[in-house]
Amino acid sequence: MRQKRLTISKLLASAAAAALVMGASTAVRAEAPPAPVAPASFEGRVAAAKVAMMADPQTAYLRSGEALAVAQAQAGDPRQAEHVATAQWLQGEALLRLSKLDEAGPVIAQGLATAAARAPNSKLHGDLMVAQAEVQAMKGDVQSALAGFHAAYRILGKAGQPRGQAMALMRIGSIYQDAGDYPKVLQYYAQAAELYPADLALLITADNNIGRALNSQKKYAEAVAEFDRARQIARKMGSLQLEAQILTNLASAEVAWGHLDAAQRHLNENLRIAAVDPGAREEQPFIWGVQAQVELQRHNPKAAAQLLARTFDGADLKTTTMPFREFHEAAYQAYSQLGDEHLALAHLTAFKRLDDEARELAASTNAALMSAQFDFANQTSRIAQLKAGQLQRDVKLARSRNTITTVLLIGAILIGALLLVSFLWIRRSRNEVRQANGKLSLANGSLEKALRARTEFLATTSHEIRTPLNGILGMTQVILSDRRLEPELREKIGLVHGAGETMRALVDDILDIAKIETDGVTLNRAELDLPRVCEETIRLWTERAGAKGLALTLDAVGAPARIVEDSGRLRQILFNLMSNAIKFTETGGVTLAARVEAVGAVEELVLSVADTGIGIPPDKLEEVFESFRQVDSSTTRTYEGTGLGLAICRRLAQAMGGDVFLESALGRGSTVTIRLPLERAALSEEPIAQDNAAPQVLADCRLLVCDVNPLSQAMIKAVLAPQARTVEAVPSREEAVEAAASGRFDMVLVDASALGGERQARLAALRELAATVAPALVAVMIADIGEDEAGRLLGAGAAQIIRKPIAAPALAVELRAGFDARGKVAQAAVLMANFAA
Amino acid sequence: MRVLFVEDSEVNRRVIKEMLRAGGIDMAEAEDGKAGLQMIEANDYDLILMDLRMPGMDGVTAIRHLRARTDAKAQLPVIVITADAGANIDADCRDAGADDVLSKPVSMATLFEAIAGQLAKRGDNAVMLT
Repeated sequence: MRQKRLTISKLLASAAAAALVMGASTAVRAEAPPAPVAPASFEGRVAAAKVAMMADPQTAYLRSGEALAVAQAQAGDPRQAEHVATAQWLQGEALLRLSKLDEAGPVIAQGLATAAARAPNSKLHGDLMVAQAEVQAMKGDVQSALAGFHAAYRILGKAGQPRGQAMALMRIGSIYQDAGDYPKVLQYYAQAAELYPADLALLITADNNIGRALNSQKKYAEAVAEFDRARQIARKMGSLQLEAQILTNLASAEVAWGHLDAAQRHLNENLRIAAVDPGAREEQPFIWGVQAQVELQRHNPKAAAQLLARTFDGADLKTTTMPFREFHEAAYQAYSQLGDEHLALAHLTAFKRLDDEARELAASTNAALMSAQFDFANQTSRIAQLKAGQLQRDVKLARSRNTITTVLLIGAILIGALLLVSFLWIRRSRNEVRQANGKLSLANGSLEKALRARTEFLATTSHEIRTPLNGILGMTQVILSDRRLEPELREKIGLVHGAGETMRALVDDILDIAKIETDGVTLNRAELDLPRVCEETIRLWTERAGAKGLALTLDAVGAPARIVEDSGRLRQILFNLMSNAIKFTETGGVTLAARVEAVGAVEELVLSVADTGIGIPPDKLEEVFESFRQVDSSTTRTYEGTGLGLAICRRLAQAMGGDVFLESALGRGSTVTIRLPLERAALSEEPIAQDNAAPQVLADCRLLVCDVNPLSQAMIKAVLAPQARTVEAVPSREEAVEAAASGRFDMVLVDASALGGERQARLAALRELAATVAPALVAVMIADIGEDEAGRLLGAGAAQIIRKPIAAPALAVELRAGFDARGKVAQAAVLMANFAA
Repeated sequence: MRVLFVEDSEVNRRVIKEMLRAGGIDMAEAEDGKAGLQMIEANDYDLILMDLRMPGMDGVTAIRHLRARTDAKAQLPVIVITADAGANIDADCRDAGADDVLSKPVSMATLFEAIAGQLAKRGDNAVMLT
């Protein structure tokens, strides 16, 4: 069967190549009308290689070699790199078809590296990724192949190549087919067919393979239906050869189902086709084989034996291939019923050889798939246990195989009597394989459950940690907010609070990564203001960077204003990157940059965080992306943290359709770059994330609120946030001065409570505040004062007096008026100051 | 302004009480949902803070009971404060009728912002800054 599938997939799978041919001809057509491409040109050789790929890979290899030589001589041509990669791709494909894996590998790897660098996420990039995965699959490196096909699927998606994507899915499906994981086979083929239903070649492959998977699961009725559909498509395509292959599969399923009459009808039909179509004639040995199975079920071993003699005519029974496995079994039965023990043994031996091969393939593919799913940094003991169980089953399987070999050897000596016994042994071993596969899929399920249980465990643990943490952090914060606290004590309590914050970050990160690894990432994409997100990220880290003496720079000149993305997740990425950069930098600074880059027809949003920190050794670059990893375990102690930041960033970026890249020079610093597919928001000037359609009253004003009462502070902030460009709040005058030193405010709204209780002290405090925050204006909020006192406040530098109580909506309006009159007020203030002096 | 905090942990009741005091807010306490509902029945509050996991009646059930009332108290703003980090916690609480959901550990700024947010939302023109 395997061989048969390969024939079909050779015809279509290399549907890639069919596409090549189609692509080539349309490309030629699209160019100047009649003038054919000069065969000596790069394009000409590429076209020739594509045309020859299917039928004559040797010629394709030669033409692509010539194309490569031409491309390599194109020094100075901006498209040289791309041409070289294209030629290498074709050469690799040709080598693949010539089964020269060791030569194909390096050529494809080179092309892939070039494409990834010069034309990321292009069709060429995706095609090369498919080719590389193909090499890996053929070499038996299932795990890498699987990852490669998945990557190709993503790349081709970005390149807008659903057909290529469908091909990648089908290749994944065929890997699962080798592993005997039929539900996955159905899933991937169905997805492929759904993704690109326009392509008949693709659909017929999908239907045929889905039919085979259903057949293996003994779902004969459904299998027959699939084969019927595949057959209709073959007719539509006008390919008798394909129809013949599918008819054989159909009849084979019907025999297994016990529908002998239907099988007979289809076999007769198939024989008629084989008689007229030379391509379909190759199908004859299989038709006879299935016919023999029919005869066996009808208790005609003699007729069966005659048919099988034709099937195996001229074949060396020691080297037959997988599609003949079932026919060897039929031959064994026919010959033993007829008493021809020599031939029966020969077929039984051949059957065992092929059965072993199939089992080995399934076992190794399965083990590889399992380990692919084990790609988990920290496995719990439960997971380790599952692995041990798997190992035990493998050992048991291997043992049962050895027993059969022994039995067969004895069988050769005592032929007749033991033939039946050894056959039963093989039957049993096959059942064991089936059981093992069942157990494997059960193990997969248990694995999933174990992961889920781990997340639940972590969620519970985190609940138990958060509750006391609330006490620690809350109470230290209450103590710290008390102005009367002595500096020495303040510092110590501050340390406790800081340690609590670190612990909270730890709990959050661990839970986040566990959730992501178990459930994936759910994105809530909406319109957002990118420069604002960047500004706010910088602001969050200003204090920490300032304390270390680091300069923070924002370069968002090339950033698009409004994009569609998950704002929370984007902030999380930037926050993590800034956190890392500041954590690992002692001198110099950190720069956050945002820009747009065109990659082919698509635009990418490029966000980077560059630091001048300790850097990462080249051989550790990949490791830092793994969960629970810092480069040197000793750094975990020096630089507190979970080391989960980059792992989370990478997973989030990948969920957004992008990736994270890391460049670093040891001792000079690191640059982390996030590339995401850019979706610009539809042009509009409406403010984002604000429910009120009314324009902002203070749209041009960056406001700092200073109030000692946390509730009033929060109330003012809540009332003004929708109206002003930005609003920040601090609880003391000292902090207001500190925050305003950056010059990022236009106005400071200070409550009288923050200026001190006594009148003279209040005026002095106001004077100092107004002088230090200038040119920002100062508005004073105060209750119960007369005109005289108001005049003195204005004289001390207030640009505006706001009398409490005031209705919430009126506050913004009053501030607006004060902000508009700033010139006049400032003048008046100078006059008043002179007057007071 | 008077707030009721329904929470089984004594330490956390104390912490939030101290925080609220800094903002000039009086806080009453109840140990579980049932006790909380009784307190609401007997007294007038401006806002309810609610933990989720409590022995006796849990927070979500208590919110549902509160929202099922037929008088004006059914409209009391409710802010959940929970250490649960499950994926659906936020949605579950809002389904039950919570106005906001905060996760422990909660900082003073977050707490007051959430309270101010509820007051600003409910009061419209009536909100006075004093």
